[in-house]
Amino acid sequence: MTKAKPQLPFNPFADSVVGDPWTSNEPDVAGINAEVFQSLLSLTRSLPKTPNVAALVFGSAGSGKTHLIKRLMNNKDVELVFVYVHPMKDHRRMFTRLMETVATNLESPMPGYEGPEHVTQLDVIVTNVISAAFEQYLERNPDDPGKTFLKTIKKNPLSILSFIKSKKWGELLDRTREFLRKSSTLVSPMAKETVKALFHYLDAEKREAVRTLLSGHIPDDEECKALGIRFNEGDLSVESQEERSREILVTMGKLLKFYHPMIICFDQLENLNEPKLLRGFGTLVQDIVNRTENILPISFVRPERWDEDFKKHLDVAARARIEGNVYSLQGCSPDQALELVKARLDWAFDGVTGHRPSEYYPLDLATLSENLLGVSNPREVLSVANRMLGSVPPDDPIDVVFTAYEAEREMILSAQTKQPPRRETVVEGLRLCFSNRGDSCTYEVNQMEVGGNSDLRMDIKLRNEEDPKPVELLFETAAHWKPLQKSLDYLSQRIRAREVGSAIFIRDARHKIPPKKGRMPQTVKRLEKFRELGGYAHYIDYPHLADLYALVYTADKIGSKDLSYATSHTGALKSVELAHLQQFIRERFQSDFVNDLERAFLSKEPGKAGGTKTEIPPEPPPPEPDDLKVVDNISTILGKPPFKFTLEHVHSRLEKKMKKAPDKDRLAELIGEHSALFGCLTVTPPIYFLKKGK
Amino acid sequence: MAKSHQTVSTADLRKHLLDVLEKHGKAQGLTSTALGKECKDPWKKSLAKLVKCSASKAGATHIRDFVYQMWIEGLVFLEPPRGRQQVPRIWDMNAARVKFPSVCSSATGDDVVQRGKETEDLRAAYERHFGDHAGGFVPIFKVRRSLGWTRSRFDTFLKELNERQDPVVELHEGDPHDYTEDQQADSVQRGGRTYFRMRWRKR
Repeated sequence: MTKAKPQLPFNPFADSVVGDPWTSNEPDVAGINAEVFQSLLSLTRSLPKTPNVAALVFGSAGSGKTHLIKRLMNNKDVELVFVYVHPMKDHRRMFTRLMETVATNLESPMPGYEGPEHVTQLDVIVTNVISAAFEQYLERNPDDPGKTFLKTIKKNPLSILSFIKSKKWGELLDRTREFLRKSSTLVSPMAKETVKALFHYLDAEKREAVRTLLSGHIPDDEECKALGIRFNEGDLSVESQEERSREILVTMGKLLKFYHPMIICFDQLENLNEPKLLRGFGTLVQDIVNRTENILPISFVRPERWDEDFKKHLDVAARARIEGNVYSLQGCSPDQALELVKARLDWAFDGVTGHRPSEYYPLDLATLSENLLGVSNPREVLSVANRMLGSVPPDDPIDVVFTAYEAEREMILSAQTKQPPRRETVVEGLRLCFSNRGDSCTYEVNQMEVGGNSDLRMDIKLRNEEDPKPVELLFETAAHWKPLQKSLDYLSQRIRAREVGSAIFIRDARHKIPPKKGRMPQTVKRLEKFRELGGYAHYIDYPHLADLYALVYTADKIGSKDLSYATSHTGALKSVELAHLQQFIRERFQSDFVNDLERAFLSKEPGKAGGTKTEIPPEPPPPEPDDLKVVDNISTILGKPPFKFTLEHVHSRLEKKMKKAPDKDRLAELIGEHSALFGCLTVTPPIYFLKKGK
Repeated sequence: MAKSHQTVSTADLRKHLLDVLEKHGKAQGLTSTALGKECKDPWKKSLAKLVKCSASKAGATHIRDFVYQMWIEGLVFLEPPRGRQQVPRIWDMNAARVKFPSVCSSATGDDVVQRGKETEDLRAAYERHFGDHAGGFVPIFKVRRSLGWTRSRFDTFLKELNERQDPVVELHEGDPHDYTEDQQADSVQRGGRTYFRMRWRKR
């Protein structure tokens, strides 16, 4: 009797774009670009001796830039702190944006760390600093009874956390501060404040405040008090915030001396499409190289964009810094191309029972080798395998954009760590939406300006009216009452002076005003006053934030030539263009949040359309029993063959099992919230599975 | 062959090596040590000068690297070690075609020399523009225009170097908007795709 041949549970070649390295999990072929990888590791190793360096990696679209970043993140040879930066959009807030990303990345679990899941990169940095100080103290005080713990602490600095409730903990922190004061150059006031705040990170209740501070923002009054730090009125300007963010990064660099170096990977840089953004980026890297220690900025860019844009707009000194160490990605050799295809097939067949007749099953090796002749670009290799699998690449670029957008959005919702509110990403998302409204739209946008005192300023002209209506939107992410009041006052003043037809204040729904009952009374009053004047205050919830983020990330992929479609006449692949994204937004993009904003600024009755009331947010509800039931049912579904399912499949099976199944957005969030149970394969569309042993 | 200490071109060194192989390696090929011995000292000194090392240090490693590059370009055949034989043996292509007909193509010896020359010319044209393009991704139209070959000769040769089992050059797609229409026309087409840049593969 012949054994049954297994079915491929999903197409491992369908989407050959590596997403965010934090979430993507495609298999790696170590031999591809091994030399560049090793060179970058060796550069990282030498950072303590040669601190002022940067690296630049060239690679054409699909050559494996993001894949290399993922390999660096997961490498076991050189321990490092890893930060991944999406393209920046606001030239005035480059350092703030960088530190927002650094703070978020430091809050992620250690790559490759196999201990408890709540241990973050920042936990490990802070405990290593404390351990170093403890070690030095014991060298000077060899009779201290604490020496019995030294061996354990040296082996695992995280174990020092077991003393956190001890009476000696305060002493330990004081000694660490003293140790830092003597052994490093952490002398600036901001450096001292940062160190002080970082020690509070180990206290779960203060993490949010530390995160806010690390991202260059000022925590609210109560949090500042809890962290023991103070700020002045002048600290609220964009310039101060930038300088503060820079200082925090410098401080972090100095602290890394007691742990491992940090690499900051700037990916998809071809999306820096304006001279001022390019110059801002140049200054950013130059500052990192010149002013920080133990931090290696690595820029990833397509060679054409470097020749066409970067060379023209970067200043000479910045260019020299970025070009310090140049590497070029090389395509696969024919053997590596085959290895890549095999790795993807192994990935898809993992856990599937049945006998595979050959390593390349269901592909024929001879035909595959023939088809791969002259194909060295990894993405092209996967596209050849995809065609051989009988998968027809979509020939409608709008479908490609739609699929990429949907997958991106689903991955944002189902990720273990929720993305923080980011001003520039939200504003860019809104800019894309409002510059590409559909044909049925009743207004035109005459003029649009990003930046200034508000984030987005538009002149809206209704089709049946003569005069345009100025609209201003402001997305405020600050935690402290001062910048919040400043923003509300600015918008209120614009309404009073009749300089604006509609003023819209947007805030992330996770950061309501006030954050707790009785807090920020003056800010609440300002918000009420703003509404009375006719302003609109909108909270954006996470699924709607995901709408905008997914739109921006899809645009970035298009800018990096990561999306392609088949031209119908030849079947050859062509890159999706920005015009296709614009058409997608006009014809298929749907967001209730954007519609709400639109209704708000089109309303004749100020303050009545769609504004959210400023009532006190209720305490977060305890987990609903339904959620637990849903999680149980998801486990049951994923525990059955073929063990790998799309969200759509899970949802349809769930609907059969439960009277009241959650919608797909909530389902994705639940999967993300239970990442210890459920895994996700980041193909398009994403595939979910039950983690082994669960 | 090079008896003085004047700079000797790679082409001359290759020609002499091929002559030696033809003369002494017809029956069973030559190991790189034997080849070095047969090529004599003046040749080795010239090789040393070319690879910028002292004559006394120009040994088997340099000869092996030199031969390896010729093998990449299809100028010689390397028979892998087998049985008692511990090192690869080097064959001239004509003798290899007789001895190993299933793995050697039927091109003539003259063709092989000609292709070696073409590779050198192409590489020289590529390197002329290398410095203007960090990372070595040189626009194909620039290389094509520098060489002035016929369209089909350039296209065929470039694709041939790219489609080898161990490719010599890589071809890269890109954004058509970065190139004018005539620059696009002077790039290379294959299977409905346009390749705008080339890069010499690192070994």
